[in-house]
Amino acid sequence: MICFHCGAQLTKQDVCLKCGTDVRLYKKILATSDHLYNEALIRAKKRDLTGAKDYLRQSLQLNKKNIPARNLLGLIFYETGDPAYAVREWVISQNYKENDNIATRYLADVEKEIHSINVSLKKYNQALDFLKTDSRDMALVALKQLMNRPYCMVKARQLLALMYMEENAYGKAEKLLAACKAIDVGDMTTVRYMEALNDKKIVARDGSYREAIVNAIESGDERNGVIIPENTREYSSYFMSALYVIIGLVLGAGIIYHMVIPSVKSNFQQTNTSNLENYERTISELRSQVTNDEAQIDRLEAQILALNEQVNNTEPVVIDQSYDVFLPVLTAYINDDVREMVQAISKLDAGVEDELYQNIYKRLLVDYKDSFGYRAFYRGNEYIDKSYYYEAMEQYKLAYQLLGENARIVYSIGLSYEMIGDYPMAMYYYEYAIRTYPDDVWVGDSKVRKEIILGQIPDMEIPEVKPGELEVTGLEDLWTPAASE
Amino acid sequence: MLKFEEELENFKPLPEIEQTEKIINDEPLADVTDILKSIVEMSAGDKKNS
Repeated sequence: MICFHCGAQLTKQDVCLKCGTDVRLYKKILATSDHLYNEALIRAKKRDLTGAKDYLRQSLQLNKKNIPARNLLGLIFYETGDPAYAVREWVISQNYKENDNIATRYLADVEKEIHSINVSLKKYNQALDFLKTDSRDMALVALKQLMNRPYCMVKARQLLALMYMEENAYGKAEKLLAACKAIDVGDMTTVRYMEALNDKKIVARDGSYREAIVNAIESGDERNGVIIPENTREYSSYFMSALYVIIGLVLGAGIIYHMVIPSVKSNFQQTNTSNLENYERTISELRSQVTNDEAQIDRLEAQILALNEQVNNTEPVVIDQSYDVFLPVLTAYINDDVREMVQAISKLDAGVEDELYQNIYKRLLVDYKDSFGYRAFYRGNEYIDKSYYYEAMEQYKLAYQLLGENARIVYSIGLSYEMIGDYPMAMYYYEYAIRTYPDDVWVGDSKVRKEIILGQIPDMEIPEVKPGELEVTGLEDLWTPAASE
Repeated sequence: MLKFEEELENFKPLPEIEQTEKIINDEPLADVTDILKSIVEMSAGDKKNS
């Protein structure tokens, strides 16, 4: 805690030891601010976000630099569907405390989703505009689309519930309000709407709310509360009903047996007879086809004999095998294995005196570094997506050897170290990228990852790096074509 | 009993994230410690003058 007057560190004393200002009241104000934050936290955990918001506002009115209170308020704004106010709180929080502040991560996460969030906000505002011009159908369409989006606001759900209640679609309204309540149990708009919904619920015989309301209006009965239909049946009438049902079932079974089953049997026999006739016809057709096929087989066998004799009398043709040497390269290319490709090319003979061979060989050398280097890099990205981090690191280092050093490759190697949990190495690569390529577009990602690691391990030392002198470990001997080739 | 048109008045357009700067500038950021600080500075100024 620092003195509000001179900025000196305060002790347990009631006065500032540097400027002598009485800080009793100041300490009480800060303590009250913290207490209000704790109260807000309790309410937030119980999902009373409206209540939590009130406490947090009071906490910040006492101490605007209460960072946890401001961050929590931003989180609540985000959860309830006010992302702009959430960003406001986090930006101010970051302004007061730049390092070791979770608001940095919140802002980075929002930045990733900013497009999606803005689309949701635009849809909601569009729906309000439609309602102002009395285009209720268009507003309904816009709000329904909004319900399917990844980011949806409580106010949007409340507005749609209001529209459903206006159309007597109480079931749909109830579902939306239940979703609103799950987010914030203390929202008074949700509470009011749910109370209004309960007022409209009247138990009818068949459970149909719409029918019950229509009946109530037609009969002039506008009582509030539950209308219970009269029930005058006696207990013994249930027994008679059951008896009538049983008698009906027995009679029905008898009718089915005597009238329906004989006709079903006769239909079944007719079908069987016609099926049998069809099968006999098919068998005789197949028999004649077999006879024809046997004759054809005899003719083809005679032809084979003649051709074999012809082959035996012809001299063999020698096939040139020299292009088979490119098969390992082709196989490695199909398997997308850059290391295998490099090894296969290293085994090719540069001195073969064949024009086509030389064309292929020289083309491979021209594409060697750049094409293979990019292949290795994108393979590394695929491995990262599949969480194969060691394999990804291997490919990134291969790309480094083939393409040389750049901010993106340095960042990618750092990322693979971070993913396997080697944070000191990861920090080395991120710090190197930041120092060596300060203006590169990929440095932004290195900065974000660095902040994330520091957020988890605040005490981590930033390694010393020499810009322009990257030390990459774990590299393998890679064949490099000679200059004359 | 809810009246649709009346309830609709309570729904205002939501600001987009690009408008955050305006929201920050529009709302004041003073707190009670700022007030306390100005009181202390005013009383310190009064003491000097007297």
